[in-house]
Amino acid sequence: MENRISRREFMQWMNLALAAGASLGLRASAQSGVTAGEVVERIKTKLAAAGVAWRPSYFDGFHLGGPEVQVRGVAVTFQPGLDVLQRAAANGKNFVICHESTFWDGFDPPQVMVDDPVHQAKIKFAADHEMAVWRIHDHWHRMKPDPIFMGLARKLEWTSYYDLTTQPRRYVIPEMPLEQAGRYIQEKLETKNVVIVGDRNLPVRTVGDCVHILSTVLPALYSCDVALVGETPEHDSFEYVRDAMSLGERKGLIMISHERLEEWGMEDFVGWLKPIVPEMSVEWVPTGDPFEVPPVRA
Amino acid sequence: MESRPTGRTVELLLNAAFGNPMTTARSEGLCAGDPNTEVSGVAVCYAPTVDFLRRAANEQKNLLICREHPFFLHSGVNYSYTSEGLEAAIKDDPVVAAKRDFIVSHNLMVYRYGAAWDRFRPHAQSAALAKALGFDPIKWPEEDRQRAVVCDLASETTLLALANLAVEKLQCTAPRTVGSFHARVSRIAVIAGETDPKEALARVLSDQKIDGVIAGAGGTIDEVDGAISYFRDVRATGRKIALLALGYGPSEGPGVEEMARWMQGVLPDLNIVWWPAQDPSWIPRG
Repeated sequence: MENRISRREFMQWMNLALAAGASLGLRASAQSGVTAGEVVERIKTKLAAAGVAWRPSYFDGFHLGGPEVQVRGVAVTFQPGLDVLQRAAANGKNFVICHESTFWDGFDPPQVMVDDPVHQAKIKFAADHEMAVWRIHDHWHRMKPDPIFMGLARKLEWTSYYDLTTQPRRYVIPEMPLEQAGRYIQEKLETKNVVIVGDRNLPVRTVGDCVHILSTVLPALYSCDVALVGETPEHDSFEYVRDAMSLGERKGLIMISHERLEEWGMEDFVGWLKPIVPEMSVEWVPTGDPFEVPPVRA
Repeated sequence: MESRPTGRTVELLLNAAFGNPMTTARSEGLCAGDPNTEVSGVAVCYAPTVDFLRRAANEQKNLLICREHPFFLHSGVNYSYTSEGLEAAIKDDPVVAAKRDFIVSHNLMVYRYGAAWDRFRPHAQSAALAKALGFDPIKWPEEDRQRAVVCDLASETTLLALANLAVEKLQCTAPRTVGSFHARVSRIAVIAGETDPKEALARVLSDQKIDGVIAGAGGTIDEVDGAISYFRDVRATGRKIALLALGYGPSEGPGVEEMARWMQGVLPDLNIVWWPAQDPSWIPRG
């Protein structure tokens, strides 16, 4: 389409914006003497040593700023929301490494929202603070075993129950009723936002891994008592489980937020990264659960 | 004995009333059953669940008109991330097979009018939701194709109070908020269904007086949670605004009832009933 700008054009524009921001005389801060691009190269080298060669990706790469940014410190997060950028900057970090998108879409097409004031505010904040945001999604998932889901297993304290040999992967846990499983997940993931479809007393012994959509939920439901999913569409996944129950299937669905499903694997990225960037501070900045659960009279 | 219309006749009458809008939509119109079957009765519901199929058979209402698809194929018009791989995944699915067999063996017909209704009356679902909660939407221009409606509340209130209102009026069982449930709101955007796409939410929120959003669910169209992430960024700019997610199904119910009323006007010779759906989800509390 003729009114779209390419990612390259966007990055050129961003670099100009960053240069303009730098020329305004930003707050002095300790530089590591290392650029964001150099950090990325070290990450790529370590990934390659682990068997994950760098390949072209729609997702992975710079989404704000560029490789020339002088790094003062690294903030690792799940989703680079504006509040995450603010917290990173407040702690003197200007290189944000994230798993998810900056502009609210898997592919970050900047042309869609380029005139939006929130979009502009985010760009301006990054420019004002000489920030770069670099995304590692596909390549982190490609590590074996997938660190994102190993992070979730760690946080759930279910690592010893995690069966990586099955497809889909699953947890074989000490049996407990579905409601108790929900409460356990609430406690371990530090959130009330655990939405469940299923009989409260359903015995849960196997919990299937899946991501966000019904086509991934189904294999987990076929092979396990419940599927554990991150923010799935209610109009199909919830209705499917309702129907399965009506047909006599003893199944359940546990939905948590995208953030609480996957951000623990980025928390683990901090420990993976630190040894290869000894000259700088690396900090975990949690994205957190977007949802609160109000104490309604239900 | 007076002849009854067939499903196909009803379809033609509805399509004519809709202005025949469904030239490109997928997973709309007849989803299952033989359209040449005479109509014994009509029920309108949010989703054609197994329970509603059984009820339709028991009550001899062999034409079920729904907002959702019996085989979970939600995406009607455009590609959506949520529909990725779904048609292949359900090909041999036992739940889908059981529903399909039940529909055929009981001579039921299931039609879906989701995208058609939304194109015909873009605000109907959200306006009906607002009215069900007791709010009067502000008038909007006819050419405005956004789904959301905006309401000024009679007096400022909290998101928690709105959540309790929704529990009472819509029987929703798992409301959630983005932002504190103690947040006070006075002008709200009401969006039935999901908050996505983010572009639509952004246009609605360009009204800076809006300090609250009531929606059905978060977002999954923009990959996973595009509009919710956008909303968090709106809040991070310093704007005082919070969102209440009621649950997708509960948010669509009032609009489906409204669609049933409209269809009754199009088909005055048929007795059309609306079947409200129960929210299947819950959150461990206490």
